[in-house]
Amino acid sequence: MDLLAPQAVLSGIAAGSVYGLVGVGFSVSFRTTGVINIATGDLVAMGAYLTFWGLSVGLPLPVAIVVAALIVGLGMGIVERLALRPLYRFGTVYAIMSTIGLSVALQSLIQLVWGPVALVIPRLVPGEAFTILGFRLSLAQIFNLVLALVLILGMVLLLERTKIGRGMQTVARDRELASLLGIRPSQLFFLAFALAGVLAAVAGALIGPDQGLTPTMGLPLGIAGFTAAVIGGLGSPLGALAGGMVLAVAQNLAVLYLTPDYKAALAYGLLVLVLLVRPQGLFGEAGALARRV
Amino acid sequence: MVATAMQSVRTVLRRPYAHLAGLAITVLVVQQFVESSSSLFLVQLMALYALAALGLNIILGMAGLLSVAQAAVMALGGYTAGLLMIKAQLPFVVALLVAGAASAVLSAFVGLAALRISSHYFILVTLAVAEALSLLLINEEDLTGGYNGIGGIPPLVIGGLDLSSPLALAVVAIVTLFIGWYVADALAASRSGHGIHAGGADPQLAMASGINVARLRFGASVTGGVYAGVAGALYAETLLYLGPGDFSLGKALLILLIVVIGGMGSNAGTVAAAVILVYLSEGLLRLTTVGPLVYGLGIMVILVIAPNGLDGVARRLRRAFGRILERRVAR
Repeated sequence: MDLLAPQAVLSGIAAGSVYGLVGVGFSVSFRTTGVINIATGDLVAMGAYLTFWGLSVGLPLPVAIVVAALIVGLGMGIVERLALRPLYRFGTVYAIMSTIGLSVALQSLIQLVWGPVALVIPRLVPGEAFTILGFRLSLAQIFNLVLALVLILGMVLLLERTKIGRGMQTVARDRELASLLGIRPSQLFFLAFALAGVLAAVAGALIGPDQGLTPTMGLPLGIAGFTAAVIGGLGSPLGALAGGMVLAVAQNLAVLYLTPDYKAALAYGLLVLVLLVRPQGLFGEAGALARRV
Repeated sequence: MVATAMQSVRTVLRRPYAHLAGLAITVLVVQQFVESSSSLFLVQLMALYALAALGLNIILGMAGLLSVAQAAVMALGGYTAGLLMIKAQLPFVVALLVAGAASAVLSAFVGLAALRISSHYFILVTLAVAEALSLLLINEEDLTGGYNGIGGIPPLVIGGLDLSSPLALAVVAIVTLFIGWYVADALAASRSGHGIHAGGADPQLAMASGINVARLRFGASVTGGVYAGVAGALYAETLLYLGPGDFSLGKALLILLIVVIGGMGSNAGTVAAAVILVYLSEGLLRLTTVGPLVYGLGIMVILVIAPNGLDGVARRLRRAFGRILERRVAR
C-alpha cells in the first residue's frame, strides 16, 4: 500500500501546528487592535535568533527559549506603545505601514548582528525518526504538536475564562462599548501585541532546527501564519491551529505530487483564494469582521 | 462611467498650463545642469519611481488601500515589455501598450480583492501576489532567466527616432512622469476622484452618500497599476537588463515610503519625495550596511512625527507664514 500520501498528511499536521502558533498570535493582535502586523514573521525570526543568543551565553535550551519569548513579547509591546499607538487615530493603514517599517528594521538588525550565514539551534527533544504502524514520526514532531496545542489551549482559556481575555473580545467587537464598560483598550493593545510576540518567538524556536536560521526566514513564516489565521477565520485560536494544519498538509501534498519549487507559493495562493472566495475562513464565524469595509 | 470620464477630461482641459510649465522647466534644468551619464541615470530613476509612486498614491493615498504589490506590477510591466522586444522583436510602443494592459489585468485581479473584503485585508492579498510573482520570476527560468534575469533588451527607439542616449531617456521619463502627474491631478479633481477619496476617508459615509465604493476602489487599483506597468516598461529601457532583484519587496517598500513621506493623497508631495528618496537610496543607503535598518526605523519615526509627510509639513509652514502675514497686514 502506498503510504506516501498519509505520511505527508501526518508530517503536515505536525508542521502545521507551528504555523498555527504564529497564526494565533497574529489573529489575537489583529482582532483586538485591527492592525495587521506585517512584522509577525520577523518576530518568529527574532525568537529563533534570540534563542541562539541565549544558548551562546550559556543558558540551557528551555531557559533560552523562555527568555527569547519574553524579550520578543516585551519588545513588541514596547513597539506598540511607541510606534503604533500614536497612529491609531489616523486609521489603521498608518499603523500597518509602521509594522512594515518594523519588519524591515528587524530583518536588517538580524543581518547586522548575526550575519547572512545560516545558523543552527538544537532541538528540545531528539529529532530522529522512528517507525510506528508504518509511519515515520519523530519525538520532535510530537513534542511540537503537543506544545503548540498546550499554548493554544492556554490562549483559549485566557480569552474565554479570564477578565482580560473577555475584555479583549469585547474590544474586538466594539471598542466604544468596551470603553463604556470601563475596559481600558490601551492596556489590552499592549498585551495583545506582547502575546503575539511571545507566541511567534516560541514558534521560531520550534521551527528553527528544521530549516536553519537566516535573516530572511521571517516573511514566508509570517505569510504562513497569516494564511493559517485567515483559513481559520481569524476567530478562534483553534481555528488558526486547524488552518495551519490545512496549509502544511496541502504544502506537503503539493511537494509530493506537483513541484517543490512552489511550496511557498501554495501559501500565497491559498491566502488569496480564501480571502476572495470565503473571507470568513473555512471554520470561522467572524465573517462580519472580514467583510467589514 | 463615460459621463464621469468626460468630466475628468474637461477638468484636465481647464488648466494644463502648470504641468506644461513644470515640464518645460524640469527638462531645461536637466538639459543645462545635469551632464554625467550617472547623474542622468539617477534622474531617469527618480522620474520612473515618481511615476510608480503616483500610481500607488491613487491606490493608497486616495482609495486608502495599502498595497505592497506596486513593485511586482512594475516587474510585470518591465518583463512583459522586455520579453516582447527581445523574443518577438516588437517595437517599443507596442510593447509598452501590452505591458500597460498586462499590468492592468494583474491590478484588476488584486482589485477584485478590494471588492470582496475589508480594506485591511487588501495588504495581505498584495503581499501574497507580490511574493508569488517574484517566485514565478525566479522559477520560470526558460522564460525569465531565473536569478540571472533577462539581458539584451533593444535600446529605446520610438518611430524611427533613436532615444537611447542618457539625456533622451531622461527626457522621455520626465515627459511620461508629467503626463502621469497631469492625469493624476485631473483624476483627483474629478467627480470620480472625489468619490475615491471619500471612500478612502470614510467608506460608510461614502456608501451612505450613494457612492459605489467597491467599484471606485477597483478602478483606483487598475489605474494605479497601469502607472506601475508603464514605469516598469521604461525601466526596462533604462537598464536594458532586468533581474528579479530589481523588483524585490524592498523596492515595493521604497515606493510605499515615497508616498508616505510625500504625504498620502498629495501628487506634488509624492514627486518631491521620489526625488529625495531615490537620491538617498541610491547614495547613502546603498553604501552603508546599516542602510536598511535606518530605512525601516525611518518609516516608523516619520509616521509618528509627521504622518502627513512633506505635504503636511508644507501646509503647516503655509499656515504659519499666513499668520505672520496677517499680523503684518493688521498692523
